[in-house]
Amino acid sequence: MKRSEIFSRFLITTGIFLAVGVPLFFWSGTPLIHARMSENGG
Amino acid sequence: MAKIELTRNPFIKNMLKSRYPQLAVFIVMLVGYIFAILAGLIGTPVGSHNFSIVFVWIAWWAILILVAVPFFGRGWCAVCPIPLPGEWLQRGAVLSPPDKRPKWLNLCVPKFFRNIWLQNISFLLLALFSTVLLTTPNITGIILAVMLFGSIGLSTIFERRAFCRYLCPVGGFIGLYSQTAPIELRIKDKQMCVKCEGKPCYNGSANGYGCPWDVFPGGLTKNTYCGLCMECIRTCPHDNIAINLRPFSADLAKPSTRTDEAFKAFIMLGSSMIYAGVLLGPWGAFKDAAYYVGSSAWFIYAIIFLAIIFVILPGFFILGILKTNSTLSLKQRFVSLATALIPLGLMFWVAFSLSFVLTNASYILASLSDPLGLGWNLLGTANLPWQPMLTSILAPAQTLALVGGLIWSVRTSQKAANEIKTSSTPVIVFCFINTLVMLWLLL
Repeated sequence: MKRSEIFSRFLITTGIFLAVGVPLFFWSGTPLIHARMSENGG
Repeated sequence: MAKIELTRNPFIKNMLKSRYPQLAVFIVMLVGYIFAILAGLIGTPVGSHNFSIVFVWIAWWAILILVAVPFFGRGWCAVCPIPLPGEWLQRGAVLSPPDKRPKWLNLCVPKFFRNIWLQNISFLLLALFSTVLLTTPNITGIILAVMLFGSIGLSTIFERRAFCRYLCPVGGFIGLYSQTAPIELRIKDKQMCVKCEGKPCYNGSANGYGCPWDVFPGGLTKNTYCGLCMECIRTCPHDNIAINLRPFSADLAKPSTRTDEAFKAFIMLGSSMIYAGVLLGPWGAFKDAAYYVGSSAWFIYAIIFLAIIFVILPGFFILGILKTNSTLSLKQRFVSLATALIPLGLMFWVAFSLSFVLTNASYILASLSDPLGLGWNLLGTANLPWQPMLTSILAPAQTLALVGGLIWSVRTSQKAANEIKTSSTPVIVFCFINTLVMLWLLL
């Protein structure tokens, strides 16, 4: 496989992981944010 | 105005021929698309603060209908991320064709489906549920995901871009309205294509893939089914493919001969008027009926929606042309003269879209700063108050669009009528009445 093909696949995979992973990471922390807000009086 | 060949410019030609600029745009679009799905599914349920609603139905729609379609035709299809994962899977490569292709089914799409009826149906399905779709982030997320995975599924069963060509609800109307755009992909010399052996533009070669849109570029006379993917520029061994600047609506000089395309024109014209009434009008009962999907009021709304598109509008159109003199059958006259509704429909959509895009554009900056509605403020614009934009020019701009659309349609109807040797008067009257109705609905 050509180096350009490998690099393109790497870029696409990284992009997809970022697009899925970043929102999920922050979303999973959302209940904590709400809990912290309620601890501080809402 | 003569055509200007843009691909004569070496910079433009190299940019289009190289896969890397397109790939860079593809990756950004795909990441944005997947983020929109995720935002819809896990972000705030408040539509006006969710990236999926604000970026798909306000920002993307504004760019599509106000800029991309009128000026670049199928330009959006050239960068659309939906077919990419399926296409990469189907090809077994992201860039140039590999030595061995993966063994997918690679079937031809059955002849029965080789038209735009499925696209008409998929658009109508979205249109009937549009009030929910436009306001509910998780429904938008689901629909975007269904389109992405549907496209992947079809790519593993059928050859080329079956989803884009025969099923995409957006691609259908982009194709119809792309005929009005001042840009086209065409061959330079027909004889060159006749003599060309192997037809690599359609069948592919070591330099690129055969046309993903199942079009033979040598026979292109309209923009409707060319997705501007640029593969033929890469594969043509004779440098015989050009991107041209041309006068607006050059394709409409030859009227359509297809019933599916004629009904597409009615579907788009009717939908724009119904949307203007339901989404922008003062009638709360219509809005409720459209929103409460599954209720008896919604079923009545759906029946009225379909009746306007398939019975009332085509019925009045047929009544108008029924008594006109022509050697052609009524069906042929109906199909040919419906071509005149293409510019009118496009300008109806422009006028309608101006309303809600300018009203809601202030959500874009706020959503960029807090795309999931989780309380972020990345750019410091999350708390920008909602404010309608350019309200003083909205009504004049809409009037200009509608009157311009009417004049454009009148000219198109005269050309179509001349082509089939009949009178254009009934079509002009039809367009005039519809423009009055749309003016009343919008202003």
